[in-house]
Amino acid sequence: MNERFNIQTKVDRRRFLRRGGLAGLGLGSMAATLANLKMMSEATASQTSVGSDYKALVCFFLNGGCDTNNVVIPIGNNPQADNYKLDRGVAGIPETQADAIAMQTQYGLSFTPEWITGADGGAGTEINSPSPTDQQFGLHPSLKTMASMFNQGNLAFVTNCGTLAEQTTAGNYNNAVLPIQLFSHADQVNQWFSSVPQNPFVSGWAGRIADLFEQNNTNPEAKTSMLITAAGNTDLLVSPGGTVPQYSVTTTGAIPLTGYGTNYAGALDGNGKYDTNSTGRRLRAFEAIMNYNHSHVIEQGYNTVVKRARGNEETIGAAVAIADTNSGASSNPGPFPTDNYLDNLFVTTYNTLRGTNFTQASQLPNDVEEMLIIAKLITGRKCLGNNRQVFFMNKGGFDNHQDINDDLPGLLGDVDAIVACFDQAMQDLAQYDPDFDYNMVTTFQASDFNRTWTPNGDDYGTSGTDHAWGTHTWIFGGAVEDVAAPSTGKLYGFFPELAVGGADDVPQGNRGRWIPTTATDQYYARLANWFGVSTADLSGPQGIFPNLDEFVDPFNAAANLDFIGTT
Amino acid sequence: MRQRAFTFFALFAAIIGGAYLLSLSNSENKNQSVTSGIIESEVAPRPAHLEKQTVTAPNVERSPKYPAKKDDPRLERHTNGKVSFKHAIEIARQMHDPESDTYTDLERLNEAIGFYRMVFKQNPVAGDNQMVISALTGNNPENIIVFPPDHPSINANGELLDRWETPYFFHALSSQTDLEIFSAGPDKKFGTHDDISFTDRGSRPLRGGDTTKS
Repeated sequence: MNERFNIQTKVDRRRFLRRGGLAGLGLGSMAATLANLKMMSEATASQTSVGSDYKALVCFFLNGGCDTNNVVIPIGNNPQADNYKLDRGVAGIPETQADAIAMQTQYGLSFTPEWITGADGGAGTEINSPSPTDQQFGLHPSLKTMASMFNQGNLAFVTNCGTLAEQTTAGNYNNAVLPIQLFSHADQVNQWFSSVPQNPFVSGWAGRIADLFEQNNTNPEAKTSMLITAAGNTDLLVSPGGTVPQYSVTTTGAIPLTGYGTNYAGALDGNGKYDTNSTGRRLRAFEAIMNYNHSHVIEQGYNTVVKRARGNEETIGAAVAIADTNSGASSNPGPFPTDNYLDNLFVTTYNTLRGTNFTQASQLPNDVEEMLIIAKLITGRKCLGNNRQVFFMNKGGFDNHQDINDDLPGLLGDVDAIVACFDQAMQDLAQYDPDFDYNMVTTFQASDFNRTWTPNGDDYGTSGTDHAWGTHTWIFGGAVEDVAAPSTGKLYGFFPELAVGGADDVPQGNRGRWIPTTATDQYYARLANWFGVSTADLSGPQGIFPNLDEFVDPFNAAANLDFIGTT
Repeated sequence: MRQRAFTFFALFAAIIGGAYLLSLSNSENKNQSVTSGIIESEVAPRPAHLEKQTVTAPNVERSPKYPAKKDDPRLERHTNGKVSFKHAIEIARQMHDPESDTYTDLERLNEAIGFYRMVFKQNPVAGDNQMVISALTGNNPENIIVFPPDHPSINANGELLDRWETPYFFHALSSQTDLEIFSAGPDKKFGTHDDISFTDRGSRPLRGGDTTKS
């Protein structure tokens, strides 16, 4: 029998459990513990002691290349405000009501576009005078919550950040080592994730951190992967050689095996035992087969993946169950005072900001639900057992070559709502969960690239902007507030000169594509260090960011990147 | 004896017959495969009044291997150090042939870019039309020319214009796939229904849009 199934006896069980989260496998019949998710969650939830050392990084990716020239906008006394009005043309956001009316007339619009400043009844998104430039800026009218958060000091911007292999300027552009395939979607996304833009993709920087933490045993009680994506597989979470596999969840939690009914109701009875029907026998046989060990690497790999998925299913289900259950419940009590607290928070907040009338979480846009499941997994973090956790979510639709005026306000409105929902969830969790602090979770934004400074047409309804380079990215959370709050809001990095042919423009073409003044390495290095990566592990050929030494030390004041504390 | 001879003959006839039927079957399969390919390409959303014209697909075998031999007849070496791919130039010069149409123009342009890809293993960096045409006309690390710098449809800004004198739009998706190339069509505006595109993924609207649930 052993020969027939090519069974081998050695199993690296410790590593398997840590990476795969299969807590009950060693006892033989896995299925006996799988029938009732709530029952499982009780057992699982009590097994880890993740506490005051917990930290999570959440990547909020804007797919398609968000036009952040319309996110952080020079206004008022800012000397670049005139450039904005002149160059952005039909893609520009009016600063005042007068500007909005002028735009309405100029382009023959049947409506008055929203404008930025609040003094004359606009959307009120002026942000505090930031240092070091001490010039006025506004945010896009759709970003009301983010403007408020910036002004309160728990959201910061790193301006003109992008993929760089070495420090590049308009002067050395033609001789510098440039990122492969600048301005190309897939390549630039890969490079935002790898942060090694001069080489073909090998691994993501978060994946490399997971690999380092695996070696350092940073997550000794891990029951599932440190790398969780709510938006399908992502290169950000690819670890070198696949040492730490990423785990993909749906907006409702784990992905179950299909064909056995909801929560395996068609195959298991209420006590978690196999039903005697054909479905139950099929599941029993399947799981027995999956428990074989094989010398053939592909056969063994298949079994490992399936078993890992079942183990993660158990763990994720337990975490979600805790997030959804009120604190007074006799079974699986969570931190919140009511059942489905986070569902209701997200629905209410989204409805308020977006003017919708949703009544349940399943009606929310998919990307909002992605952030919701991340909030739930953070709430149930003790079930996952990781001291360090990276999450990924994605919002698409930002490739606005055409119709930018129709599309971008709605897209940014959703971004603002997602930020509002998640930030409130973390603040509420800190209120109700004594083991959680608001500064344990930092969310950072990334996107393919910024878009061209000048629009590609002069028709309000069909024009847009095209692929460019350096972009403005934002970060929020309690750890940002800890640093930024004293000065209440600051633009980090170096804001570009907004001029075609200017100091920061690519010296090719005539559309305004900013050469990044802050490398992704510098930006990420600050996040990674806050997350627990030592400065010694950040740079150098074997470091998380091999190119980091090419740039100004991100911990030096000259880099202007103190948007978050050090580890 | 006669029975053995009959058996031998029957077996021989069966083998010959089987082989013939098999060859017919293969032939049918091949025809189906070819037909299927043509049908797939015809499914592309082109207006009915425009008849698609066949152009040869990029063919690496007939292209010089690069770096090429000095006397390779498929190359033309210029005094300024540039090297033209004759076949690519020939194809590019057929663009905007009055007997042809924009779809064919786009296919020819894509084929010229295919020669570039053959050498560099990636597309030209496509910040905008000007950058792409600059690279195709010889401003690249190998000094190769796959598109004639004096093509009548290149304007003073170095942009390649379509039949309606609007610059083509190059959409860089990935170095691993063809560039998406768009003509704004007769109305000279992108994002409208008369846009014409070439992409190996089939046509799609040139816009982003809200991906949220409606």
